[in-house]
Amino acid sequence: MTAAQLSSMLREREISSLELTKAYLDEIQRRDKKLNCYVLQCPELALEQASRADERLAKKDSLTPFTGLPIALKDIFITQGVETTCASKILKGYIPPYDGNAASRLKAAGAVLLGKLNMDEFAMGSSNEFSSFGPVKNPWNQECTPGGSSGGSAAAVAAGLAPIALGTDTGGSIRQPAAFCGTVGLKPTYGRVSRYGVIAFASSLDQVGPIAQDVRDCAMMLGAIAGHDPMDSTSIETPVPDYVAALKGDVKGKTIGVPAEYFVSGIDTEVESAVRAAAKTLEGLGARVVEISLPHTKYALACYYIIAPAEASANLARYDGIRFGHRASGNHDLADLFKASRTEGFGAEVALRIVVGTYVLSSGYYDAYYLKAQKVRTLIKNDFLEAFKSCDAILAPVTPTPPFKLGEKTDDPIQMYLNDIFTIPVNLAGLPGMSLPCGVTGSGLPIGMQLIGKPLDEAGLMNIAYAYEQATAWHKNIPVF
Amino acid sequence: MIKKTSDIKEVIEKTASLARLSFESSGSSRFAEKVESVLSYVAQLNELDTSGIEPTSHAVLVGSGLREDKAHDSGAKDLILSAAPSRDGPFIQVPKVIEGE
Repeated sequence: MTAAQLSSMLREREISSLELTKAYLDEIQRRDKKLNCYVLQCPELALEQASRADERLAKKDSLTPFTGLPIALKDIFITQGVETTCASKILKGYIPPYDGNAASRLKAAGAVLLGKLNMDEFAMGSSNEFSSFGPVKNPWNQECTPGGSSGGSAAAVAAGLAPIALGTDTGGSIRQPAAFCGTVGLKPTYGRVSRYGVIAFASSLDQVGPIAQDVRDCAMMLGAIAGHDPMDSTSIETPVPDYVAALKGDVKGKTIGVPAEYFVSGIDTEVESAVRAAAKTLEGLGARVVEISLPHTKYALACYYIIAPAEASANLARYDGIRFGHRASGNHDLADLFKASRTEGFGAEVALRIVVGTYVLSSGYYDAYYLKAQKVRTLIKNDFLEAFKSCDAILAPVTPTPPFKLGEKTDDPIQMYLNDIFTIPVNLAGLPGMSLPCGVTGSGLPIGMQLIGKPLDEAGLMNIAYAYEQATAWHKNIPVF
Repeated sequence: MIKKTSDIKEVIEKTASLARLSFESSGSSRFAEKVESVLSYVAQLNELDTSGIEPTSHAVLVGSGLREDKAHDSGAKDLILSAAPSRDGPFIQVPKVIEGE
């Protein structure tokens, strides 16, 4: 059942929050061993939050769509009193002293926290295999990855182990796992949702968003978490529309651009034909589909793998073993203590990105790498601005391939990074992008399509997605595992 | 561009040290190959002429989102202190940094 349906059952008192929460906790206990979605379950807190929500529901006291609704958060979200590790050994045992913006908004809305979800360490990965808690399995086929880095979020929602979840997306980390697990994921415009209390990876790219069962649930969640926050200096001060009310399902007169550069050689034929068929469906609904060009697409991945590691190397400098997190044992002077704690605490992929990021920012290389990448970022952003002169939204694949096998790409960084070639440009340009199911492969794995919108046009974007969803049934597929 | 693996190992050692990481452990050859493959891959940006192009640091530039520079009590002093791996009362313990008594 969708989050919106559960929300209305709670409000109508057809089920209590306590009953619903217990049902999810049982389900997690019983079935998550197979998937490894949760890195932490918090049943006591959840039951306490549920009974408080039930009181609120009984009194009809300041009800929101989330009052009494169980949710789960990627373990990148800071949660007061609940261990938060970002799936890294360096934060093992870390109990945050505060709630981040998303956690505190959802708490105030009356949501019930089921637990924290698995992810690639510090959100660096596209398969969830770079987690200190071990990989998540794809509920559609346990030999496959669920995608990453928000793999736990996508797999939990697909598998019915959470009605709705939050993820984060720096280069595709919401959209790619959403596609791999047959769920709906939304990365809002950069600045639409506060990053306060989200463990920082690459600050100019990170954005928070929902992973949900359908578009309506996405809209409901975005309404709860979007809005200005003085604690995030990049937070946008624009009013938040009623995203659910904006779902009209009408695309007549809308122009959808399909970028030629996203159908290059190497793209899986099943993915290509599913996305092309989605274009036809939208056309059938009254949209005009036109071919567009985003000429600098092929440089986006290289641009990202300078900017993101550079920002990460600066952000991850805070893990020094002094104030919180892992501290190496033994006798060290201060400099060696930093070195030993960091070397022991960070996984290999995180270390790789810190070294690359430190290198591209180091004296003598800054202009050649970092400044160059920032200029290329301008070209990529301008491609989109130009394209949006002739279309309202862009339709593209989310990934070049369907879900791949666990272990297939872990030792080759470039092969792993290439998963994100179609999602990364959207982060570099700061645009809203979403992923929704648009097909199934011959071997029964989900295929996702990506819709990319104009800055702050989440409402328009979700409306197109909603129209497509109403006309198709892909989102109703449920994995058997 | 750095091409030779011997060079890359030196570069990595220096860079790792700047990043307060050590890579003396075995298996560092594969690590060096990975760093090299990422740096070679990103070098393709050199194909693009970017003269006259302004750099973009943030895709969406919002005005000054700075708060007033004012101290306030978070009320979380004990919680913050209790996250420290080693402490002595209200102090976080670190190895001695000044020699002599």
